[in-house]
Amino acid sequence: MIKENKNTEAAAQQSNDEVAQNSNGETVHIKGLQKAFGTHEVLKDINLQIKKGENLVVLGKSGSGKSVLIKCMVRLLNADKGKVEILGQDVNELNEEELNKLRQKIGFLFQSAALYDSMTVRENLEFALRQSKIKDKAEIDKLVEEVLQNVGLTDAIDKMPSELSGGMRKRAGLARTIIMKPELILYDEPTTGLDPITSREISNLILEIQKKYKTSSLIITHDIECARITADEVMILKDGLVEAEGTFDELEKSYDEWVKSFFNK
Amino acid sequence: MNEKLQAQAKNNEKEKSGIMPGIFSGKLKDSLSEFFNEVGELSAFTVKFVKEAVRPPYEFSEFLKQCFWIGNKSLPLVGITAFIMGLVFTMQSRPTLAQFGAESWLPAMVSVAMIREIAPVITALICAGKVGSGIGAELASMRVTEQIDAMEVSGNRPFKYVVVTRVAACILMVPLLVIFADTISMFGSFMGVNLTGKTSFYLFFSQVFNALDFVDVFPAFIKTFFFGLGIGIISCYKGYNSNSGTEGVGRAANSAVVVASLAIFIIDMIAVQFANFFM
Repeated sequence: MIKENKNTEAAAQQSNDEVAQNSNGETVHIKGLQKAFGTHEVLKDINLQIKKGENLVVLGKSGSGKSVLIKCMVRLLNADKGKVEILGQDVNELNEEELNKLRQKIGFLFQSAALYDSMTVRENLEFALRQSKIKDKAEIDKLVEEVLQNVGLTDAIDKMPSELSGGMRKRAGLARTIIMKPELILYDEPTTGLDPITSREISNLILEIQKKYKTSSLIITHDIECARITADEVMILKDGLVEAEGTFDELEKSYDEWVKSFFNK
Repeated sequence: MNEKLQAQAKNNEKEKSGIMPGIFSGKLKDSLSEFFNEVGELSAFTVKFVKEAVRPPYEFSEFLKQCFWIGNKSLPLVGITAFIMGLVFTMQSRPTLAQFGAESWLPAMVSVAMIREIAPVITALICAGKVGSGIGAELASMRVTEQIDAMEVSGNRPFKYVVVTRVAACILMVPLLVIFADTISMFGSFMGVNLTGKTSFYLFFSQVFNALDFVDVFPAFIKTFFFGLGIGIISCYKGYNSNSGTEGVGRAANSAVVVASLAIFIIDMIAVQFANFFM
């Protein structure tokens, strides 16, 4: 029994040391992540790190497990195996309260922006602040206006989501994401369904937000132009495994035919 | 006799060889397993509702908004239906009572029937159709467009905000709508009585109140809270757990209405048995 306790203490110490080490430079540390739906293995063995202030772009064909990866990161889906450590905390070990607290430090921009369609843009942003410590109405109003100004959407503050164009919805979604001042932002295909000009605007906005708020980001995309603009590091997924990783320039010049074909698209 | 034995032997052989499936095999087994699975999940959903409902913080503004939507928006439909029910029921009952020379019993009979059974069940069915389908479709659409996921990842509790408020509003508003329907149906009945005869307003309502007893009103009122709970829980469950894309939105709305309507009759049957046991 004593031996067991010693082992447990040692394990806890080791875990704390790891956490301390990770919290020094890494915002995200994923090790051996696996996820299957029935017999279909979507993620087989994913390992990745995102350093503080870094943008990691994950590329891959449809069905390669990109969206499943970020959903496992915020526990919208439970991983079958592996460790997902975000801001020094193992996501799979947290209880509901702890998970909600951690989630407030993570921003998530959905592919469809997922604006609450029964609320105006202002209410969408205020809703995100409900769990924060800011309760003063004037302060909330100021914050909402500041964030909307940052994404260039001040005119649409009292509009309903149904009145917004695709690009405006993405901007509003982005504003709702950054209003919590997250340390990590997860983007699920931020430029999908947008015209090339708006896509470039959104990609540049992602970059501006990273610089202004000093966030780390994980961007999932099919859009090579978005990856070129936003990426510090690029990772390519194929059949649930990391096929290639490096900087955008390195991967673009890759001799691997599959990687090459991906960039030529 | 010999033929019977031969047929029995044949059946036994078929059963042994697996040609004639047993009662609990194949599709029936799957359906039963699916049914019990659904009942289990619905029970867990109800338990979660109770837990979340008592745990602060409380979403008062959203609750009031839902009360307005469920109550106020259903008021005209419930009112018109209740008035017509009272009127038609009185007109249909009059000839039968007239045969026995008991026309003067009309207000008493109609009021007991309406308040004990007809108004609560019909109002609950209207709510299952209007409110249940609305909640089912709204929540399913929120699920499909990732709005519920968005609430979850922002650290808010979607179950509390979306489900608890709607179910609580149903529990409060369905009984109020039933009281409203009871009242309006009596006015319909008063009109029905006066279509062929002449009865004063005072006489009609004094006969109604003389006929009604505590045992008529109280159990009928209590069961409407359970109707509200049933409608709210089932429609929220169907919408919240919808996962088949846009096709699932229609399916959630449809099954919310069907299952909630069936649940109303089951709750009513249990409530009547329960009330009779004590009265």
